[in-house]
Amino acid sequence: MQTPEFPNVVDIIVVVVTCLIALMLAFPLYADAQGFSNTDVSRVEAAEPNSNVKRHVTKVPVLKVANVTELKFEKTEAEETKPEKAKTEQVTVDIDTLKTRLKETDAIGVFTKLAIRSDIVGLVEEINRYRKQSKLELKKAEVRANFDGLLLKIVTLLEGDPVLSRDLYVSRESIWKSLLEVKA
Amino acid sequence: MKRILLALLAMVFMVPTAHAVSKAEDIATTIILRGHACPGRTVNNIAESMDASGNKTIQATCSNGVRYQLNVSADGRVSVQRLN
Repeated sequence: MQTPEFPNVVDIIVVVVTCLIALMLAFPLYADAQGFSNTDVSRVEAAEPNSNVKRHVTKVPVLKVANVTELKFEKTEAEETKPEKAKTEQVTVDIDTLKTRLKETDAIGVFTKLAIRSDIVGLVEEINRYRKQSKLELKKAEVRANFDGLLLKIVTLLEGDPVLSRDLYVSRESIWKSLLEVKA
Repeated sequence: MKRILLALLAMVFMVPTAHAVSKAEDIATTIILRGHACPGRTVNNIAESMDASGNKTIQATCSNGVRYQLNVSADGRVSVQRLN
């Protein structure tokens, strides 16, 4: 018996399955979930004290006014500490590492990177111009709006590199501070 | 053995297409980034030239027929100009 010349059905299935595996490796499904992991965890943690208070209230339905105020105080204390913790966790990505990762990412091309670089240089020049004119404090909100717009553009462009996109967004306050520190 | 080779061949063809951004997409993204419309996020008829001082000029046509010129200066500044 000779083997047929046309490709076997099993071979076609092997190729299709391999293509699917390659695509799944290239675009991992957990990337989207990763993109919000830090912030979502902090939100969930911050939401927990509310549920605890509710449970406590249902257990002791005959609470007096004093006890209720105590509960409220506990709730606000918990709410204040958790977001602070989340804020400190957010600013952990090193800016030099971010710069390197942005330069080396394959999610955007060379010309796009140059265009982004031009925009950043323009923003730094704008900050320095306002600083020289002693108008930086007055124009800070305007410059911050430009910065937020630029960051949003970059984050949107980096849809092919969701981890870098998330890291940039998470460390936006550090980037803003470092931009303000740059002097001509 | 044949199936392993087929699988490897499929991997070789699939992975680069999933990762790399083509030059046409890159130019189109730059045009969009400068506030111009470039539907489909790709261009064709790309023509490149460079002058003696290192300034690069790229001309490309978007899918709506509009031709743009990208000027990349030697220090890396990018500007986009509509030609028609």
